[in-house]
Amino acid sequence: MNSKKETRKLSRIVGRAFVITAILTLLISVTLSACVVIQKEYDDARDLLIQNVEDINAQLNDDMRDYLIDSSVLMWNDLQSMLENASGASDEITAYLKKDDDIIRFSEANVVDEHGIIIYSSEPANVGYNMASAEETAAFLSLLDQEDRMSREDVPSPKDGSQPMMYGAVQIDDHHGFIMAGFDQEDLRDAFADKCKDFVQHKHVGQDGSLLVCDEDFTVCASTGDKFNGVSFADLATINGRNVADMESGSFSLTAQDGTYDLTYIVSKYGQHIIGLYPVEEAFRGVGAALSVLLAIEVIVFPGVFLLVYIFLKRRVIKGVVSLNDSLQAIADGDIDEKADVRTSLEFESLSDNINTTVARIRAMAEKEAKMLEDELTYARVIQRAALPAYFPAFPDRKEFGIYASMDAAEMVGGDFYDFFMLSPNELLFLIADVSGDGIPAALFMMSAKSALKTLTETGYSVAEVFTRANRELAGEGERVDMFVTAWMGVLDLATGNLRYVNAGHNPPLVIHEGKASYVAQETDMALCAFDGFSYRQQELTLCPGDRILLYTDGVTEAKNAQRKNYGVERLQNLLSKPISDTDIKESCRITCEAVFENVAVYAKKKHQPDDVTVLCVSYAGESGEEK
Amino acid sequence: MNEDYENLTIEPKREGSKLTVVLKGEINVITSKEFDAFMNDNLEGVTELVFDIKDVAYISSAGLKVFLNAQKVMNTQGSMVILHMADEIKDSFDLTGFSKVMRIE
Repeated sequence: MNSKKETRKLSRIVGRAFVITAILTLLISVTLSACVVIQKEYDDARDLLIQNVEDINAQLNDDMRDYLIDSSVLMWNDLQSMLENASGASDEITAYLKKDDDIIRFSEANVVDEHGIIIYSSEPANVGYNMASAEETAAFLSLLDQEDRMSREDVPSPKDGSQPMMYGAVQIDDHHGFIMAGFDQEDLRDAFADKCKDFVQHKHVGQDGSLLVCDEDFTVCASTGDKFNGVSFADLATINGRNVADMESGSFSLTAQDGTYDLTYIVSKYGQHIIGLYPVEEAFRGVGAALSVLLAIEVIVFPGVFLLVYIFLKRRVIKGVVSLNDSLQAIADGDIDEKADVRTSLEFESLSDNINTTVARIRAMAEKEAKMLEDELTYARVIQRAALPAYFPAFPDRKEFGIYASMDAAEMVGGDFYDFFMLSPNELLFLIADVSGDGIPAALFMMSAKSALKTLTETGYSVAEVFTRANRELAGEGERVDMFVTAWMGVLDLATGNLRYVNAGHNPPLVIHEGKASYVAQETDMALCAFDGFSYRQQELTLCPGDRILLYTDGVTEAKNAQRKNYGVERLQNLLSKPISDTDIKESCRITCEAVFENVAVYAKKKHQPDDVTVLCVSYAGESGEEK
Repeated sequence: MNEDYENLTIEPKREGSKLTVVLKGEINVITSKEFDAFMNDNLEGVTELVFDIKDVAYISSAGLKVFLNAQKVMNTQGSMVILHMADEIKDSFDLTGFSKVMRIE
């Protein structure tokens, strides 16, 4: 299951991706750079080596050309006097041409006349040969008009034409003929070797690289600093398994010798081999340094670039996502005033606006709902209020008593209620009740309870019987809605002041007699709707003319101040023991009730109270209304 | 407005079919809702219900209602007792007549 897979933060995911990408890019870049650097160093080394060897080769070519020509000039110096009186000295001349002395070694010598015909030669067969008869030899004829001297290589010998020869030639007698000296490879080897020695002895390839001149057998006859002189290179193996002897002139290879590797370049000439050796170690000496610099730059640059991009992303994108998420969280937590406000890009701006629009719509809907509910509660309150007698002074034509009641609901609708009416011309019924609960359900149940009590009293039952029957009737209803009702109901005989009452779990009333308030000592019965099948008891007391009786709900005695202390029964008792300013039978009830509300409000310091506050006061003046 | 009212903590302990509920704080019109919901969810299979209200300072009529409901349920399931009731609270139970039908010790 993938439920264990940890959900990571976006910034961490992006951060990881960047680190991995940075490392990969760095590796690839370093590898490519290394290849390029190595290739370049290799090419440079190879170019250097070839350049060095070819330089020597070019110089040797020049020198050898001079040698060929110089040889013919020397010959002319010797032959000049002989040729001037040549008539009978041809044998002498021919002998000279055949001479093969220690100074110059050559294979063939010819004297050519102004017509391009060989007139004297070391080879008798050559005499009479017309130089114009072959392309290779015809080239020499330019000596008869403009050229002073020339050399030519790889010309087939007129002798047998098989072995290519090298010739040096010089014009004689103001272009009226020329002398040519011919050399085969054997003739030139020593001269070549001498020149080579001079050239390579003090030359280097790079710093430690060497230049060698070897004979046909690859025995070194000259080398840089005479280092390899006499050493045989015949077995020098190339890396691709061949022998150095197999390398063609002008070719390049890597060779191994005594554990050192060299770049090797060879040029073969006149039976000699010019070999350049350039140590691999030196060739790639620069690579390490170059790579180090490159690596250092890349190690600094790549992570730097990625870090910058990451910071940029984090600032512009991730921060936006986090900020939007925070806003959404705040909205989800119930703060509908929260505004999403990320404006770093078009998309975020659009997202922010969409969130705000959505929230605004939802809020508007919620407000509409709340308004509807509030309206409904207001109607419910109006209806509930209308059910409670609220026209005061009530019964203005009755002088025997005054009555006043008021309810202050904690919610828009409350669970408290009161009622009073004339049960008969001589009897006043009044009651107060508190439904345990609040809001619409309590209010509805209250209406139901109030209606049941009124109906039952009007059918003529005693107060106790009314409660017993109401309990039975309401218990089923109360069972379903989980409510109970505490209630106090009394019937005052206006002629005698006799008050028959029943108390279903309600707070004891206060009787104010001669300016002193005291609680009615009473038996309390079970609250209504709590348990079915309960029989309520009727109790009695007598009010004297001038007495007042105050009924109230626990919203009064349990009103709390800032220290969470209850208003309490004593405070109420003390308040009502104070004399009141107006003793009018009707007014005194109103003043008493309002004093209670005012005193409770002052005590609670206008702090919102959780419970309804309801009071009802009855003043009794006696049958004749004598108190007036 | 909730912060005006002290909180209620409910610590239940179930041992077989016996449920002991230790209550602390105030059971007012606000906290009684939580208390009521708790009792609705936890009475199944309970034959012995014990409330310990030593640290309860106040019970409003809404709170009384919860005890009343619990008593009604326990009347059919077994027994219920309320322990360590403060005198002030006992007054409320006496007033409403509930102390007549509940075991209060």
